[in-house]
Amino acid sequence: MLTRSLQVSADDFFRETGWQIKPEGACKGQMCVPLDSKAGTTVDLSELAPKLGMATVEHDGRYAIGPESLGSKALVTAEAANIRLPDVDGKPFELSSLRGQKIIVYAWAPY
Amino acid sequence: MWQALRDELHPQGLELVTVGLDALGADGCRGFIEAAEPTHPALIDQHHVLANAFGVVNIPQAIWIDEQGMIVRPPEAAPAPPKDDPGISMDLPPELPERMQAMMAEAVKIPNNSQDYHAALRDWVANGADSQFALSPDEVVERSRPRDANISKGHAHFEMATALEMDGRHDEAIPHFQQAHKLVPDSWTFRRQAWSLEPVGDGPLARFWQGPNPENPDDWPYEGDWLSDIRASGAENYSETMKP
Repeated sequence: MLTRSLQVSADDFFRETGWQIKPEGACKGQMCVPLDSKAGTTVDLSELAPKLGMATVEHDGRYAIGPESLGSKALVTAEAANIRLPDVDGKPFELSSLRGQKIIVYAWAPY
Repeated sequence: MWQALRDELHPQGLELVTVGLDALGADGCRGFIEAAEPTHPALIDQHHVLANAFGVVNIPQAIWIDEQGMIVRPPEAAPAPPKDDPGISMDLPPELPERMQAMMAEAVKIPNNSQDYHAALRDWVANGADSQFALSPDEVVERSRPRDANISKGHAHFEMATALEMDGRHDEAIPHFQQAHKLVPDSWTFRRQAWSLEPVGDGPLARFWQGPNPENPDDWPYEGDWLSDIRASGAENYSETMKP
């Protein structure tokens, strides 16, 4: 995720990464990672990102936070991430809107 | 070509979601999407979130997800349906440059298991969880790409690179693309994306050149290019074919 501050709202963090802040810690699928600080509406990425194995890259006051690596695999759960992306006209789409159907997500590129 | 398959299988409960991975966004993808006239969601992914979220490392790749939102097959090579011409589908100039001919000579060596892949897809659509091709949640996680702290860092560099690119700061993006390539060496998409942003010429093949401009080869900012890299790794290893 991209951010200009390492203090981000728990809601934004969940939407961007799929990691939800709960009383038991930061959770995705069946996996929960306990946190030192109490669950709140804001998360401190300088504490949380290393716990999840998320690398941070800074450039000119902006941060890119890499995906979790704590499970040693690209997927920590088989629950599909709720991808949110726009269509070609900028209209937003959420993968979860197709729940109840089988989905094939097909990646392509114009190069 | 996928559109026809989608229309055939949609009544059986399958939806196709295509995702164009391109930092240039709608500008880069629009021509291809409009030509396909999709009736399914056709999305644009400027930061390659499919790499972060699923471990997509090449195109075309696909992920299968069941009615409950559980992945039953992680990303793997997704060849076009077998009845379609597997060749390159755009109009090629009659006198193709030597480099493009050499690239096509490599491309035809990439293994194509279209028959098996599409038989498996149809089996899953018909039989769901009873299909032998629907993997258990543990198997899905196990088969997903390896990921360590360096790979996470490479993804972060890539996202920074695409952000800078979208801001028109191309020269600042290049070092981040270079780091992404070094830290995530198995990602063809991270390389292909960066190479495509150094187009040669301005025709339909400009972004498919994927390598140094013969007129000023020393200006090429990257270690590899598509032709050198596929020759080094072997076209037979370019995409991982489906294993049941």
